[in-house]
Amino acid sequence: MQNIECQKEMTIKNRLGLHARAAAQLVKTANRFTSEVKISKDRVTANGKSIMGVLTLAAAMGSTIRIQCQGPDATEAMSALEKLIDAKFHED
Amino acid sequence: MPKKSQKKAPKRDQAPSNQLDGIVASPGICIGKAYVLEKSGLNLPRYWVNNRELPAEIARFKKALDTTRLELDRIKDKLCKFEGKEQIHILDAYGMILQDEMLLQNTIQTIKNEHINAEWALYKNLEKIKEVFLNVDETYLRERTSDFNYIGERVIKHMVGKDDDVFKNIPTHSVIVSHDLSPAETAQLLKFKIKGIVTEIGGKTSHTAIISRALEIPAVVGCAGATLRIQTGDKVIVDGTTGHIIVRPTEKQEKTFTLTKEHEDAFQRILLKDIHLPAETKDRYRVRLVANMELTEEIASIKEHGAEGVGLYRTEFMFLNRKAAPTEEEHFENYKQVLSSIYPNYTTIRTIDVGGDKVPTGHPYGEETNPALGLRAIRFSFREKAIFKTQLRAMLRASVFGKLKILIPMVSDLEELRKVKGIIEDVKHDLERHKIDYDPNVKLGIMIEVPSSVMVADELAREVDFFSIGTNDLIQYTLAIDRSNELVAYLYRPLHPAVLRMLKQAIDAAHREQIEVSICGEMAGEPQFILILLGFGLNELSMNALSIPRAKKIIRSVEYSSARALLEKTMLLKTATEMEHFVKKELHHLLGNDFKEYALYSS
Repeated sequence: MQNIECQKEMTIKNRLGLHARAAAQLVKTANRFTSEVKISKDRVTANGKSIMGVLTLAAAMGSTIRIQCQGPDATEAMSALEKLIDAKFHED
Repeated sequence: MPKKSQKKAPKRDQAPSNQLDGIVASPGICIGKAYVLEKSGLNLPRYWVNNRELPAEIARFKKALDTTRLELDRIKDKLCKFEGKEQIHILDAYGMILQDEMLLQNTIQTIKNEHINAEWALYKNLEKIKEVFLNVDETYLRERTSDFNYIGERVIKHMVGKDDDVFKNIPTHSVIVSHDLSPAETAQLLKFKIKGIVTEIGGKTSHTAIISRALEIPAVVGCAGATLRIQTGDKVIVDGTTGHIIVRPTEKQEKTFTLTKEHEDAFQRILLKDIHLPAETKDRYRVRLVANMELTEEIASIKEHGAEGVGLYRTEFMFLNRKAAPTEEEHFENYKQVLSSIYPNYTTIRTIDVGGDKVPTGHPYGEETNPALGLRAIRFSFREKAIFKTQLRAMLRASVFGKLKILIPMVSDLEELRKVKGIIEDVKHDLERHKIDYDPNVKLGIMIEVPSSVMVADELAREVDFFSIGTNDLIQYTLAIDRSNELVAYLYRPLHPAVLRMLKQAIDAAHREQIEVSICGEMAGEPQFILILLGFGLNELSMNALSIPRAKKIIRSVEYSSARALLEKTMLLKTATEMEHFVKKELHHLLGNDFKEYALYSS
């Protein structure tokens, strides 16, 4: 099985930041893939498949997060997450 | 008079050292033993668990998580029927949090490592997360800590069990001292016949304030440090008229209290003597004095104070402090209770007026830069049509249990009015299709509170059954001032030429079309304005129930013709200052010595 690793920095653009509902969407998306998803902000790294983890980052609008995906479907996972963040979690 | 001397000495450096100050929430004065409630409304049990007990403790925690999740699922299912998309998403997120491995594992670790009970461990973990949020430099996200509070409270409630009642040890006739009180807690306190309430947070329009006023319990809110300065068992004097709280009073202070109390009681007795009489002037002009209400707990007080119906039932309180909009059944049960209790008099129910300064929990539209001009009242209802229809449907269903008037807030022109009527027709048709009864004589009225509605009042009057003038907002919008902004609050002047002309234009339009017109703003209940409003020839004045006896006494002591003359003369004046001086002088003349007494007790 192929093991792909990729990472990317992104800016949170939705006005409300990564609050519970947005975090839930992000985690749901991450869980669709088998790859491991890690999200970090500043020096904190969280499991992208745990809503509490993502919430703990407390990422407000304008903050930069780094997403790391590792596993067979890492590329797909990354692009799905990217889409979601770019679409501002469909909320603005 | 004791009360006056207290009022004259509010300077901080002169206040006795055992005095605390807060915001007046409910008038009256009382003395009693303090009972201090835990900071969080929910009593958090804290105890140690030994190694043998650990597995059971962990199992108990897991079970509570599951129960809470199932409970949320049930709520979600119910909501789906009413299309509360936003609420469903947030409940989804809560469900995920409850299933989150990290929360589960961390809490289990805390239980094991620190040997503490599950409630305590969960609380600690949630506090840790909240701390992260509180350090975020962004208001919205910072306020999201309420999400964790909500989850924590729900889970802990399931572990603690319902019979562990925080309130079970309260001695009757206590003065309750608390950081804050939720509506449910305040309602629960009633059965203890409490004497007074002091809270550290909250304002004049908080739930605590409203319920205490309704129940005639003296209350002071926003009293910082109260739970620290006061201990359970302390003797305290709560003066809800001045906002002073005296902790462990001296003999002299107690004496002063007794005098004030006697004076207050005597005045109340005089006022209450005449509540069964109609509000009629000496020359037989009759006006209906009706009550503003927010909560069903107020019904008894409304009747005791001689209200001839409800002129304004504000329903938004049903929406506040909760995650999801109320269901149709909740609305229905509530309205049914109010309508049947107030019958044979009318109950005027206003549809949801959220937005502006009253934002329901989970309001999905975020912060607005200009809330007073934003998505509020009927605008909110047009946007959240499902919520609006649910409410209207419940109102119509309840209408067969009494006499209902529906009142729509903030209608600004004919187009909006017609849109409302269209929606009401839809709801009626739907009820007919399902063979559900409603009273076909339900009256429809609108709030007149936006200047544009005054400008087209003649058109509006042709298409509704009544007007209810909301002076608070009408004054704010007419004079373009935000009353909560202390820099411009001094500009808020009900006796302003522009305001009186606005009122006149709206009232004249109603009279021409022969529809009823009432006033339901704060102005209606204040002694210095009652005669001016009486002069307008209104059908109804709607006010806080507590103000009704006083208003009645004023009305019964004058002639309608002199109220008319007062208004006419006032309207000839050119500035607010002239008007205020003139009205004050005339009131002294018309009401004599009583006026001083009225003014002293004016809220």
